[in-house]
Amino acid sequence: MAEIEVRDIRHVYDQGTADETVAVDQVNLTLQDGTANALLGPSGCGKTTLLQIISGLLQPTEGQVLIDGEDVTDKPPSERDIAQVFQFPVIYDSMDVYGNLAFPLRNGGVPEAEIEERIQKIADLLELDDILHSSPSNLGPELNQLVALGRGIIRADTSAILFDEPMTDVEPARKLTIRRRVKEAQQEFEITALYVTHDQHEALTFAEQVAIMRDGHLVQYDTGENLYENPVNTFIGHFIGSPGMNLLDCGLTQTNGAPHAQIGPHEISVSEDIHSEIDLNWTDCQIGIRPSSVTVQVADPKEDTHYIPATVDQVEMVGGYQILTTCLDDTDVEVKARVAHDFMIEEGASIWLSFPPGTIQFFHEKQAVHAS
Amino acid sequence: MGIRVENLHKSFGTEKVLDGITIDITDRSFFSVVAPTGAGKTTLLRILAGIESADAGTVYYDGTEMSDVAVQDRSVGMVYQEFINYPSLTVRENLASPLQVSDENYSAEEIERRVQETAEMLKIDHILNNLPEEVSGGEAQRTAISRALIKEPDYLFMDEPLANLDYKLREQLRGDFERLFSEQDTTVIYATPQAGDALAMSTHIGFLHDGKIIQKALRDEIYYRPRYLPVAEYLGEPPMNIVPVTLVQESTSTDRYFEVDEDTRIPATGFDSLSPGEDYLLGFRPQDMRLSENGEASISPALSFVETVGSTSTLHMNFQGREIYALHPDPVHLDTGTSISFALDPQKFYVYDPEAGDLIATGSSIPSFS
Repeated sequence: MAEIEVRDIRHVYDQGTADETVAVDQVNLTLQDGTANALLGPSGCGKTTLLQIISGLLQPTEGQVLIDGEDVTDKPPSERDIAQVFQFPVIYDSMDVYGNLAFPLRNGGVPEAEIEERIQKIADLLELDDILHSSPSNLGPELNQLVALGRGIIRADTSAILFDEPMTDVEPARKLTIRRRVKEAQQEFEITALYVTHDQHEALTFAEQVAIMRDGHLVQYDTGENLYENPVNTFIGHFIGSPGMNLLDCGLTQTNGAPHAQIGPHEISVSEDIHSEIDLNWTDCQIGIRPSSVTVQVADPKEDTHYIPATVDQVEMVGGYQILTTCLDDTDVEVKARVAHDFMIEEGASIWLSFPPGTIQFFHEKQAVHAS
Repeated sequence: MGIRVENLHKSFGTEKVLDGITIDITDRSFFSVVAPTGAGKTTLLRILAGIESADAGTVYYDGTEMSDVAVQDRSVGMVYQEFINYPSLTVRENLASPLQVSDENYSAEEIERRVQETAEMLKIDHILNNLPEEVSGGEAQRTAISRALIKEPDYLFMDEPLANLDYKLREQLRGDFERLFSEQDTTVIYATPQAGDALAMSTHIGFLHDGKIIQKALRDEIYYRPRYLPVAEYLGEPPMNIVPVTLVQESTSTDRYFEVDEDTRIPATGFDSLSPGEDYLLGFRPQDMRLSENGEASISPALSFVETVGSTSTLHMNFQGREIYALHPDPVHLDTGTSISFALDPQKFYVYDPEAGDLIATGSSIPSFS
């Protein structure tokens, strides 16, 4: 197991030609020994390029890759001891599951008794005991993917494991259980792992820390909780969360000596600890609030002025909850709010929303404003 | 303009794929066929569209029998999982091509208007002058969807069109589709293994199981009242938890319980129609499980691990040798092995017959549909 570091990585495809493209730029990232990490971003963000640079399939245009402090930038993949699990399982159909798991060890001259012991441990963990002597061609893609994972981590000297969209071929109904087994294996073996995906659900459930890339740059490398609670900019706010953070264009106004966000006729309090950071002359401001933080009230709250009237435009069932898409009255501002799966509401209904100040983020020129 | 299907059968060799499908697809509805991969969804769609023939059975469009009508003579659009565009034509030309080859003689202005409108809807208006090879995978796929939509067909068949798209784009398109098709006259028939996609977009859902549509209903009805176990176990994120129980009632009391084992009894308040001594399968949704605080516990499963995404935690647990899940609306921080208990609300229970697998009773707060 090892620490993986990339330093000042820049990668340019077709350099010097008309098709020159900068795929990765100014990326610095350290994956601590034994941790689970994910690399997340929309297609074309550079995450696959960075993965290939770490595994050694690509030489970066600039920058270094270090494994436990040793510069391996010029080393081929075979000398990096990094295991990979690809989109589609790569396994040998000519051998049974046991043979596949044993393969890297037999190649390394490990005694059979030790091989058996290791395989037993892996099989217990990944719940493969019943299929050890089955042929991979008789198993579904998800079991084969677990076999590929097992083969990747079976060698004691594996420094890290890289996953490249490993759930692509896994049946949706099987994903929960496969995710659990992959995660348990990573934890049990304390293996440094990097999981590349466009699917935030997979990234956030697998990783302790997630690196989010956009247009070749690393935007935020942080815990799932921080990415969700404290996005550094509006891109992260929108990208993380399903649906993403509500980002509401607002003006600024001073009421009772405190800055408030102004949306149409509605005034919204912002967290007190950023009052001194806000300049009332700012333009290009947004407040951000998670759909799960919006409080929904069906009955007219009358005197309670914290509530803003809105109309329900759309009701969707998403991830075990209902997401209401609403429009704030007297504006064209859309706000999404999460309610329970059995909350009874019709499209067109009038409701009232409130935005608890402690749950509101404030963005100026797309960047988060924090208390100093 | 709906579709009616009567007693459709289809086999490939000895493998029976469709085994007597009879459904009515409501005009202008968004009908999703949901099933795991390999259950025959694609075959059903192809037969409905007229691309493939059935061994037996009849398909009607708006009351007209369609057996002898070729696919090119039907007002249908098709969108596949793998998208097909003309590589030598720009995105604009790709979108315009179905209109140009049509018998309808669209004017140049009409073609341009529709291209622009459709491109804006699917957010590809910025790449109209690019070739397919110059755009991202997601954009190429949206181009193909636009081509199917541009003729505003009466019937649009979509076979897992979101499968290869980025998560964020998929999320956005789910919302767009729901909005778009609720305003259009098109009847949409959509095949997907993703329960989440179907629940987010559809007006109606049919569940395909063992070659039959075992339940077809309004979206809310099939979600709140899954009539059969396979539907209950599939249509949910995460799926409904199912636990084998026996109904017990002590001779000295009127209280009834669902007994899981000697130590675990779950109140069966309100289930008067069930018989003491009988075995049942008890179902409860992960969202309806509440971590208990003051000892009012119904079940105490073993926690395998916790996944937290944003404000929601999914608890993976082992209970009586089964995997069960709880969904918690706030992040929970619990280590594997922590002992936890849940309070369950009998008003939100589902009871299934262990042999036939059909729904025989529900708690009082489960909505009913007539």
